[in-house]
Amino acid sequence: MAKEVDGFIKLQVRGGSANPSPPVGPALGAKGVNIMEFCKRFNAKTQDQQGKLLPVVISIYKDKSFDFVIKTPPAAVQLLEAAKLKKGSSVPNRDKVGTVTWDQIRVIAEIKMPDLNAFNVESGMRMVAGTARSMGLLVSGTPPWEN
Amino acid sequence: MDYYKYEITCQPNFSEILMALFSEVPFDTFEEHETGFNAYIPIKEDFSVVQDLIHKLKEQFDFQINKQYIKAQNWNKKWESNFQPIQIGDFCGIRADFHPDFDNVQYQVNINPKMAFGTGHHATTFLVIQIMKSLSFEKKKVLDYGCGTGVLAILGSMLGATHIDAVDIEEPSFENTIENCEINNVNNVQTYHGTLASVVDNGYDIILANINRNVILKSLKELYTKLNVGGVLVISGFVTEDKDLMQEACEQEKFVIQKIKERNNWLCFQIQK
Repeated sequence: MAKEVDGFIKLQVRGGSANPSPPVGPALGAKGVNIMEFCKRFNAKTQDQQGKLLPVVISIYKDKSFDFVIKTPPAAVQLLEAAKLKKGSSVPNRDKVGTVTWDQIRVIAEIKMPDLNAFNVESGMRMVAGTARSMGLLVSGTPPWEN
Repeated sequence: MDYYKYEITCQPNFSEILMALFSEVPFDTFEEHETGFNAYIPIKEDFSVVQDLIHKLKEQFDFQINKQYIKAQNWNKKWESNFQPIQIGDFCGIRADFHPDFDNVQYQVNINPKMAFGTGHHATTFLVIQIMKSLSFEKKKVLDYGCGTGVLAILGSMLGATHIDAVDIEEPSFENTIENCEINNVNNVQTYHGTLASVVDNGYDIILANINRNVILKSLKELYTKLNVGGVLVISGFVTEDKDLMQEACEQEKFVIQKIKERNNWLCFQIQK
């Protein structure tokens, strides 16, 4: 029989760096879950992505056990890395301070596909490109579907 | 450690972007909620960079921000108040103050964890203790690297080690090891707060390191230097997917792999200099 869920917690935690401080500590601790167990498991599973911000959804069950699913890094974080920027434009839509290519958009969309609500890579690319523009990044060149 | 929580209220489509931009300064964790997200930063950080970032982002995005101070406390108290005792065969039992004595184990360790790792519930602690059973600690000098609750150091002392150094980078663990040594009347454990560099001594017969893959990989060379020839290093805290990587790294440092144990997808190696 499936375990009864007590709640879900959605966090973004740096790979290999979960610790029992807030928000992990209070969120899990209040439910009587062993925080140290979560930190050990999360950190072991993310040793290859040390320091990278990773979305994680934790399911907490009534018996105080838990499971978690680590998602792909957020598109916005990947776009920042792709554009090698430290920050977005200070004046969006006018002052484009970084550029990403459609090839980079495709790579990010392909990584994000398992977590995107997109039917195919092209629609995933449109979503990622939209995120890029909202951040003040210029998407250079012509979209592949217009070639 | 005390923290600041920045509660950000924004349009849903800006939430991911703002989190990514906030992550460029030392916020260590984010918590998503229906109207935005909370960003958490240890109070030791430089807040001028945070203020600068918020000022710049305010020009770009429409969001509200509310800052709260969160005082450090034992967040794991609820679990710690009623955890189950653990028994590793007839060799060792780990219990809290509120549990009755074991009546069928050789060694009994009393742990009051207080947000430190190492109550025996986790497979890695269990595996290291199983390996400790097969080693002789009599008159040995031991290092417990990443000591957590101090459970391994305390057991090492009970097994006859003459001196044990214990070190942990986390302050609650450093304090908890001292407290647990007192509870168990163990007085030959010297506890250090910091990285491996905090322990200047060498010439260990046994080193126990239940940490994680990256820290162990980074420390292997130094651990090799700290061991006596013929000394044993017990490493754990990594998963089966990392088995080949860890084996290669150990062999590259000229360690001889003596034993590999597995439990619930976690690994423990016994290797010798």
